[in-house]
Amino acid sequence: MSTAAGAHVVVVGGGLVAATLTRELRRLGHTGPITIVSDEAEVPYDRPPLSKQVLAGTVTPEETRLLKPADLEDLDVTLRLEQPAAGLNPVAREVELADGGRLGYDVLVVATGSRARRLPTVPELSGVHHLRSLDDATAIAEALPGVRRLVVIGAGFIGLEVAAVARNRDIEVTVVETAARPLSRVLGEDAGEVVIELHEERGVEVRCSATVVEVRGADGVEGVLLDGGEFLPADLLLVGVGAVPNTEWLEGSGIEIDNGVVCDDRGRTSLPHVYAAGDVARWRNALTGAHARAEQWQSALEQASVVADAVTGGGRVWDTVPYFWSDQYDRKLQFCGAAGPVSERRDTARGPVVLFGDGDEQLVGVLTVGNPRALAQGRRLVAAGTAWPQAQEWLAGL
Amino acid sequence: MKVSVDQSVCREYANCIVEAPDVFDLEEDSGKVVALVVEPDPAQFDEVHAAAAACPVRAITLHE
Ligand SMILES: Cc1cc2nc3c(=O)[nH]c(=O)nc-3n(C[C@H](O)[C@H](O)[C@H](O)COP(=O)(O)OP(=O)(O)OC[C@H]3O[C@@H](n4cnc5c(N)ncnc54)[C@H](O)[C@@H]3O)c2cc1C
Ligand code: SF4
Repeated sequence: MSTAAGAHVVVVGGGLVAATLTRELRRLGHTGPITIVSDEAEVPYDRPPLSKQVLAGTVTPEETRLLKPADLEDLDVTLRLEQPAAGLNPVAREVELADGGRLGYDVLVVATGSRARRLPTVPELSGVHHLRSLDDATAIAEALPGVRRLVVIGAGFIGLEVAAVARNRDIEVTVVETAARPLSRVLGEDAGEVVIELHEERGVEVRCSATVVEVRGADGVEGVLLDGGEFLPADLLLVGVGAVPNTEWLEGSGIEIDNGVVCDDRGRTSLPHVYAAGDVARWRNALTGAHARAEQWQSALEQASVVADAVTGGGRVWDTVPYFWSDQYDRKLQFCGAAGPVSERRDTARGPVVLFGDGDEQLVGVLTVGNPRALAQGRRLVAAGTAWPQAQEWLAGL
Repeated sequence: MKVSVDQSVCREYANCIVEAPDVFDLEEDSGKVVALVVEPDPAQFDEVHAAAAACPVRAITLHE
């Protein structure tokens, strides 16, 4: 499905995918118009700093912008901000906008990302926060100076990063996690131990196997009640329990959706001329064979670049080992590949390294804390399909 | 191709190393990026491109 260089490419969603795709299309010689449609008022910005440096005050909102004013001009891209897409008509090849307008496309890229999951037990009180957008981050940053006690629901990456920033400001922090170990969905139970240690060493209380059954407060949040009957006072409550893909606007278009827009390893959806990438999409990875929603910065970036290649007539597929980083305190936590049923941990001089293996004695994932070089090597070993005994040897030599 | 890095911008994400470990490294003391190779081999161009693109703060510039 290659397309003429002059085709009109419409990207719905104005995040990392939109910014990367625009750069890549121009780099690959696409000359046709590019339009980005976003429901936000901001030009595309980068999300990772929101739960880290923006909260800590070391990066300003302006510095998170992925497309600076000069880029917009150089890349000759039209931004339609505060314009939520409401529907898709693949026969007429039109995006329907919430204000009733229509926008025709030759090629459409669905890049609407995801949003923070809401919990039915959590009411919309003042002091209750989710974190997905720049506005969310600004609101939390403004509230933090007055906060004495923070409760985080969900020991996911975003919740733990906020916990770390708050702890650095001497705020009392408790993290409540329903599962037996933090991040167990991504990292498996063993690696969760590494993460607990990181936080407990700094005085964060991590309550696993506990569930918030009620949030109390009248004007503002006062605290949470756990299933064991204990009450934890809080003046700020952060809910970080995962994200759901923004696919509602595609309902009725006939596009295949199954926990995200279903894509092949080049980003093609079930509809002609329609691609999807980033957090909203569920791609097939040609290397691992996995079919998953990545929800990772690097994957969104790579997928956007593969789509740009496909749109300009190339034949690249997505075949790299998925990779994720997180900053917690002064440590960099990095993870690549997948968590497997087998794992082995070693505490190197720099920090812990955990290897993951599958049932067939092959290395499938690596977690490092404070050791980017080991992660880089590990990622290569995963890509090469290294056998478990060789991986163990490598670990022993670190 | 020539590679240059801006340590004042680098925020030590190490994404560049993950993409191109033979071309970039982090300095032992400062933790900031260094280019091990200033004029990479054509065989390394792809990973150098990937590394520059993977840097969230665009601390790596390629002169082609
Ligand atoms: C706080 C935070 C911290 C993170 N930290 C890390 C990290 O440390 N490491 C890492 O690897 N990843 C991290 N991530 C994940 C990473 O940022 C995402 O994977 C990445 O942003 C995905 O890009 P995207 O373009 O798919 O979606 P997004 O960047 O979410 O962009 C989607 C855009 O589409 C818009 N949109 C939604 N619906 C519509 C509609 N109907 N019409 C028009 N526009 C719409 C949204 O408002 C948004 O602007 C973090 C994410 C968050 C939220
Ligand atoms: S990716 Fe960028 S910020 Fe990160 S270490 Fe490399 S140059 Fe520095």
